[in-house]
Amino acid sequence: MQRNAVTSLPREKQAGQAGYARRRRFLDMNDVRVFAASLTMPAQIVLLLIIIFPLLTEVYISLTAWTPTRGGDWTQAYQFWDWGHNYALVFQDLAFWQALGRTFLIVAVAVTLEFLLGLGLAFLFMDDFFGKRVFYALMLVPMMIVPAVAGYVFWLFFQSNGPLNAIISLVIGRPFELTWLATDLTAMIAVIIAEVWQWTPLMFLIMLSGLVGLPEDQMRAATMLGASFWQKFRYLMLPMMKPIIIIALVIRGMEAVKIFDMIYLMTTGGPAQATETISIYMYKVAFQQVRWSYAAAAAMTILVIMTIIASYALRPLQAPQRQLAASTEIGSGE
Amino acid sequence: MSKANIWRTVLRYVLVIIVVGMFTFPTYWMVSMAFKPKGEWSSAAGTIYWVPENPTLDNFDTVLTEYQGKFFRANQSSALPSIRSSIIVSVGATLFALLLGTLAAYGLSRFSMDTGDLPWYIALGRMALLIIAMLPFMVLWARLGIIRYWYGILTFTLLGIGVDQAIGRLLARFYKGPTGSLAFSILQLRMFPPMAIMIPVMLMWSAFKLVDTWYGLVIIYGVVTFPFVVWLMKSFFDEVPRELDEAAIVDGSSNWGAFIKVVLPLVKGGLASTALFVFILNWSDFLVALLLTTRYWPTIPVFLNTLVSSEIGAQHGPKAALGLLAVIPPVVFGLMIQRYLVRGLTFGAIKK
Repeated sequence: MQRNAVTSLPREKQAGQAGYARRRRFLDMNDVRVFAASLTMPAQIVLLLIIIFPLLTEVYISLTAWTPTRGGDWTQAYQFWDWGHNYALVFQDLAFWQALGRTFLIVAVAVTLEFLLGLGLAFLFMDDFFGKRVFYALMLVPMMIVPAVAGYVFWLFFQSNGPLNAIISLVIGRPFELTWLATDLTAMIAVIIAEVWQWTPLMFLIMLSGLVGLPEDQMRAATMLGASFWQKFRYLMLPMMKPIIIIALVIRGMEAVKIFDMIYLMTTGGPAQATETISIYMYKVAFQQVRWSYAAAAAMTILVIMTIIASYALRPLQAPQRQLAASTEIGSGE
Repeated sequence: MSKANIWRTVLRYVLVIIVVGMFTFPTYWMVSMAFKPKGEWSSAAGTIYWVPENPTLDNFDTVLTEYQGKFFRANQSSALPSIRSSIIVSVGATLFALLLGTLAAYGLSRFSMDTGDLPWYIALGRMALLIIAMLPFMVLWARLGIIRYWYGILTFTLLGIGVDQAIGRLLARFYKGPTGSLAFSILQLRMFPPMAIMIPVMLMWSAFKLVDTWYGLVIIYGVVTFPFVVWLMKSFFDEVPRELDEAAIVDGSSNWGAFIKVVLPLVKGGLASTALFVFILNWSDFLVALLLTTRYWPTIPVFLNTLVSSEIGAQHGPKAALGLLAVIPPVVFGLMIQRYLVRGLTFGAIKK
């Protein structure tokens, strides 16, 4: 019985050398290519099933003026065909672009704060101290809390008679009553605080693993040469941590763009549209205004924008090893 | 200890306690709320209750026992159905995602099909060609009236897969670079806001009669979370030296045998932590369940959101109690696998 090792020569060459008649049976698992295909095939098929039909449906609906309230089900949408009208509307819709801008604003502010807080905390947790494990575990809890529950808790938290106002009253020594979720700016701040609360632990964890992994002898050498903490941070830690920092920022950014649960439960995008992110905007258009074809056009526009951003943003993730290797060279060479 | 060191220690403790306290307070507030009787829920009278003065288990009782439909939604008088729903759906979807993802991860790890960076114009171009080619068929299928039935969707999708493959071949002729890879599309799937694909998914699910069923949720959760399985498991498989599978094959085991009997047992720990991680993701979802369940299978987060009584107003205590129950499994599992959390949430890019 002749078998192919996983990484051995292609079968034809072997067959030629051994005089083995080229006879390939259907689904011959000893054939490496069949084996490789059968491993990835289920995932491929499910991906295509879940991408092709919804994608085409979305495009189809977006090219019509159909919506559930216009009568008929969506298969009859061709009766309301109106080419790219919805797309023209999307491009002119200020609310859409504002929601997009707001999403990126929340992402930028929240991810920056998460990064700074996470890095600071990681420095605090670098050395051992009594009770470190308990504090560490407590610090990790927020990121494991179901976002919908967290959204509800923060809704309670920011009520005018809620604990936050009570704490502020205690600190300033007089009653403080602010309805956080009712004015534009404070609602935005509240949403960002909730987002930062939930995801700083992840940044903290990533930064801590980066700091702990730094080569100790270089740090000690720098200390002996009399480098200040700031110098060590600026010229040693930061360059060596750069790839990890980039990956952390990209991943948090990617995930934060999708923010929905917390905002939905805290403000539902309000007051008015003050905290309406792109997900909330699409939810409102589809399910409150019941404009499905328009929502589909908006969704397609988002898909295009996100694909463009993704292809640039994901580069650091595609070859983390190469990046890490390159950076250690920079770190030790300079 | 020198004086400077003492000051540094004190400063560190002060900072750690302040920051960790701030991050723990919201969780504490939920826990304390769960044990407060109704009178202490809000501070309407001007006093705020930092700790439950008369701790009670009534809130848990309210959530977990039948109340003759008095408090909650018409057909559900307790949270028990939603707890059952969450458990069944999360476990089922985790198994589904593991099955799909582990196989694909092994394939990607051993037979590297990752063709590298895909420029956006190729990704979009491929998508646009597919849309242009398939749109007429969509309209045709719609006019024939078969698109709303499962066989219409199936034939259309099969046709689409064929056309997609043809486009891939065609592109490869004119463009000598990567024209798309499984790895990339898996990663890309995580980029899109779920809201952007939910409208057609809802239409598809209603065609397949999958709305408000446990298996409908299992399928969509499985699809949404299996990319995480792929990236996590790939990073675990990459750590197993290839020489091991080769040795097994030389010793006479088949390709499948080498995978199942040699490689899989070596990544047992990784597989278990991946399972727990994906379980947490499924358990935490709100949006998909909100859109795809109505009466029978709302999960805990969805049910929690509807927990309002017409008789006594907002149900803060019971809501917090249910929230506390909902939070226990992910926190316990999360702390169990904290070593792997970073790896999971960064798609295996940071291994620690």
